[in-house]
Amino acid sequence: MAKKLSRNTYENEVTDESVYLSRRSLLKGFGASILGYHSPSLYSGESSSTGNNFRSESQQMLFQKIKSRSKEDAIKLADSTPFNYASSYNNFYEFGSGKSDPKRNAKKFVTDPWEISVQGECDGAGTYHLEDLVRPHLLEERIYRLRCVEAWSMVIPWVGLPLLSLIKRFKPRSNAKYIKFETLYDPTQMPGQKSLFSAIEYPYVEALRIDEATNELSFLALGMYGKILPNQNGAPIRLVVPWKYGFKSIKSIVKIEFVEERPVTTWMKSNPREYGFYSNVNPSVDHPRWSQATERRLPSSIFSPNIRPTEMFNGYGDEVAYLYRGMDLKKFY
Amino acid sequence: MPTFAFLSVCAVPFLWVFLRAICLLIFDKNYFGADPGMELVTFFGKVAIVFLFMTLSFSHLGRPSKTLGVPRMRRILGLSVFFYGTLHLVSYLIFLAGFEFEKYYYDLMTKKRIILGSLAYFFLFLLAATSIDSVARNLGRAWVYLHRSVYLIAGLVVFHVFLSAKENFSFSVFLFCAYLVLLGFGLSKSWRKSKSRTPIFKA
Repeated sequence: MAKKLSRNTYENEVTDESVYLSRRSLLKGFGASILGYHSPSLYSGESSSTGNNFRSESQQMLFQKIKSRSKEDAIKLADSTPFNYASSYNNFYEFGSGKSDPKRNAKKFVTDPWEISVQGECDGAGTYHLEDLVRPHLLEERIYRLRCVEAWSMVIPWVGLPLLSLIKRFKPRSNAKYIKFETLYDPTQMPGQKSLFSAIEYPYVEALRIDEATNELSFLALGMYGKILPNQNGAPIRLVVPWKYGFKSIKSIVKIEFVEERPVTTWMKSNPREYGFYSNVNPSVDHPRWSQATERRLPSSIFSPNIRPTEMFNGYGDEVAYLYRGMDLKKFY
Repeated sequence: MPTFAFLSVCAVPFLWVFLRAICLLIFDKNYFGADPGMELVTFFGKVAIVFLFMTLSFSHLGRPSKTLGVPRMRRILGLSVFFYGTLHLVSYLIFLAGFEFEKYYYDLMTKKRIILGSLAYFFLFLLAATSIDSVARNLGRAWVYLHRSVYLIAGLVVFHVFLSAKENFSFSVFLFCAYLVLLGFGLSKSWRKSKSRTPIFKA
């Protein structure tokens, strides 16, 4: 049964528009100075192709929350990959192994109602409705680089909440060393889970060390580009760990488990030589079949391949390098 | 004239890409998806494979009448394989290796699939270079043996594709089966013909 969590304070009240606008103009200057570059031409403003029409009150609530946190100027300034690319070029093997399959096959994916089961070494175990988990939180927008293990990358403005804030509410015990996530298993909705030739075992499992999960960067996204997360991007809730390869950022989460032993994650199981537990973005550790030294920043064009060097920890070294101090990252790839 | 028609058919995949590139220049709209580099590399690779397997199966279509100009068509097919193989390699060099030959060299030294692909391309190049009538006549019997390496090329390509697959091996498996069948045909044919000395290539 779904259990209601005690509500924390939340300040998601509607701000007076003039205040909001002045805040935005402030942000504009602020963002530009942080990022140091901008190319608004990359941003496609009109993209209403996601299903932001709501079936229920909880979706309405989610939408309001996401919309209120989206800083359009920030999206423009962030050199983001346009929404239509980020939502049509996906690896979500549950919906097919082609890049355009997920968008096509996930159209009717039911994400509402959605329950998340929390288990394992924590005091807050139970099954929660998504809206109960989200309601007490002030969502925030974060613009992260996303580096896929296949050597392409995007820049995406996510809206969601830090993983840490949820973990706190579940009160993990001291013997919880790892946090394990699972994607929905539902072959009737996810045709990829029935695929004969797939080397992947479902449900999809991912995991983080607890100190990785509680790092400030670890994020649970509910939306992107100021909209509710499109189904093909892992609706209704997905993980975003920007210093790791994209496949660590598990989509459509239905189960969170605090465990003592290191879980075997899906790609590790499928091909342990190629995919390790950590899977940190690391230009000096090759994938056995291709180099990770560079990446193709999407969208690229046939007249400008847009290849750039890959940064250690995807450029988030300041925030996460301490997690791996003293570890041989060639061995713990 | 049928030769020209056949040639045009073989050029269709290239024209399709060319047209989109022109439209991109004119209308400033992206017709290649989010990752055009990868799209082109895989597209040209797949077209090359289709032509390669067509070339292989062409020899097993029964005994064709001479008027159809089958050897000539087979040569056009073979050269198409070389053409699309070249585009595959070039687009790899531009879009995946970033036009840095160091990177290609590094891949060549460390990545099996790049070694296999490059080796296949090397043989393809040899076959294309010796496809001219005069060269073929000069080489005589050696030409026949050399051009049997098309089976070697196909084998290399099958493993190249297998090593390029990430989690879905259906295409590799399909290709491998097709290869075994064609190889079986080829072997049985050469077994039956081992005594006779019919020239395989006639201009």
